Amino acid sequence: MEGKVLLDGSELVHGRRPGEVALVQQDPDSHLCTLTVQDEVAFGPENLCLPPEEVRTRMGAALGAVGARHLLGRSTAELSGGERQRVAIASMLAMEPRALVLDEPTANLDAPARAEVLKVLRELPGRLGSPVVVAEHRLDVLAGSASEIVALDGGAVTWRGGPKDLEGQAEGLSMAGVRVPGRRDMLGLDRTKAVPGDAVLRVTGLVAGYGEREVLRGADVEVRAGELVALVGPNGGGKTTLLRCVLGLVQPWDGRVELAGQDAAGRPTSELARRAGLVFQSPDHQLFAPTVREELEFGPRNLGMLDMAARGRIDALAREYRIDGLLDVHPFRLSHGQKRRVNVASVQSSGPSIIMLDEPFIGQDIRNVRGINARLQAAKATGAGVLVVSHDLEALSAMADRAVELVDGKTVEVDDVAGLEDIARGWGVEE
Amino acid sequence: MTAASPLRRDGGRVGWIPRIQYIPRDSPLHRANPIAKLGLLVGATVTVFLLDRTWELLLALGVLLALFPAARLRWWDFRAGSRFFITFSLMLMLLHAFFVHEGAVAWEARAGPIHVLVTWGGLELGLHMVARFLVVVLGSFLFVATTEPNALAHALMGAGVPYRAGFALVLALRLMPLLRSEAGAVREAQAARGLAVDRPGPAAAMRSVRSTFMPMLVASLSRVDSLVISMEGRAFGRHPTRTFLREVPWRAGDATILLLGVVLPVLALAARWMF
Repeated sequence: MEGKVLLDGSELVHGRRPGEVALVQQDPDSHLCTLTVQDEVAFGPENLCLPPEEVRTRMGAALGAVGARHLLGRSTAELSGGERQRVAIASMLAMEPRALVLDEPTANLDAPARAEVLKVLRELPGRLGSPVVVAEHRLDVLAGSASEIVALDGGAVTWRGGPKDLEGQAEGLSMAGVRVPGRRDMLGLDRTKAVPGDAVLRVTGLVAGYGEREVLRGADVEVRAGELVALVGPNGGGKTTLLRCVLGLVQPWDGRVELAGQDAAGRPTSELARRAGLVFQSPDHQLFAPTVREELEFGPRNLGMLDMAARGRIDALAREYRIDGLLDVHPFRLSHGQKRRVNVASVQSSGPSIIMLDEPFIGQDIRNVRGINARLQAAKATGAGVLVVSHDLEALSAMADRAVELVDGKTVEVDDVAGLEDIARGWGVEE
Repeated sequence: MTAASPLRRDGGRVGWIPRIQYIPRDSPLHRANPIAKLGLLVGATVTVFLLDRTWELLLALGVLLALFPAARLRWWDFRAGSRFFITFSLMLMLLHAFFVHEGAVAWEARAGPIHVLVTWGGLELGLHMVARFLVVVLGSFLFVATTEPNALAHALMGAGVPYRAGFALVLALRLMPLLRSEAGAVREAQAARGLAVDRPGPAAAMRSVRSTFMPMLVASLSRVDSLVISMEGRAFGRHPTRTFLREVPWRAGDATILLLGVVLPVLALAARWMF
């Protein structure tokens, strides 16, 4: 490593003073190391051997700065995503850092939780009097309150300026993978015309849950061949549960799931996988093979379909997803974006009639979102149906043919897909 | 349609293996200091191995069972584990009844070359072993059910256990549910790609394990990596000691509980020596 990091004009020496520059990571679950909010926020000051009174003072100030004093007596396991991230920020603030750095702090959060954290971030510099640096693909609301924006691409600074300078730079920033707020026209998410055929997925009156907790309360969703449907809603609304029901990963309590006209009830997941493919949230949880090629062959091999046609389809998918040069590489050596492309391609390699994706855009820059969308639009053209669950309403409004809102376990067809972002206002917190 | 799920989010836990965990209630046992309870558990466990009369063990079991309502725990709280306790106790009893031949014959049957013999001595030894097993297992269950793990870790650190070791326990408690959930997610992703992990049998289990190892290893390492950044960024390990905001109180009753943990094995030893 070469170069210097200067803080207030003096060189930063690693390890001189812990917490001098505090880092808040993307996933709060990987940041929190204790079991209660009190232990978590007190953790740093206690490690500095500060007396309990000083620890208590710092804890109160840090929780106050993120508007989370009321969480003090809670267990970290029972916090929502937004609350967890606020506690993670407070735990670093309790170190009284001279600068706070946050790595995509809202990437794993839904719209209300994101709004909750963004509100805190907007107010923090004024409250702390210390610089706050946020690394983000999405400038969105934060851009308005940032004093300076720096664009990095290929390891070098490609642009820097203030929020007012953004307008003239929208195109260049967009090309560099940055999403410029209010410029949906720059997303570059093309939508091919849907020519809907027969229903490849029909969910009727679905009721399901976990233990005694009912999550779905009569959900209805239909996806036809050749169309891309967005399934949206607040956290806990039942979106992921619905996808899991389709594949038999959760057995419905009531209602009916039909895949390509056939009742899915009582069939094992490994059999339903012939007709339905599901791309899960975490890229790492769905990479099983020692090479990318074997990863693409994993599904067809398990289903006894690895014939010449499947191999041809795999070669074509590898080219389309720009992973043909990586076929002999171990999937865990790939970048986050490449892994996501392998995930989607490996689900498509079995040729399912319905492709379902659960939060496929988390941690992806707009170039990767464009790439995935292009392939999904192409899949539509081959007669597959696509069902996408995502909190990225801006992207969905540009790529989806139809949208279904799922709130409190019940579904409502959205009238205007282009105005998808407006419906989040009904979920509790306005962005 | 049924409510049963072939693949469970908790990593496919088999239903009848008891899931031992803290059950929050307001009772004197819940409020007792974890160190005192741990001392009593160790003392009681040593004691049951010193007792060699069955009626003594049955008495100990009776006292232990009486502590469950005192701790405001109900039968419903161990419904998941009851099958395990009952099945294992029955197996223990039957093994001793059929294979230990001591004392008078209680029951006998012959069918060709097969001769089944049950003696009173075998039955008593079976009862003895079952009572010992239940006292040890239910005693541990009672300790875990009434002791908040975090309080145990802090009490141990307060009692002088190095804080790095104490936090290993806290981290384990923090990570276990996350890793269990991740293992469940990996199994689901395998099934969704056609791997027959949802069918019973050793072949399916082997297939699943083979494909689970790498994603779980990577997920665990990635999580540990992030945790190290988070903990080192907050000065963990920088000093040989640290301060604690959380205090686990030590009351007069705790001293009595701990004393009981010492007195019980001494009394049992004395009884063995005297009688």
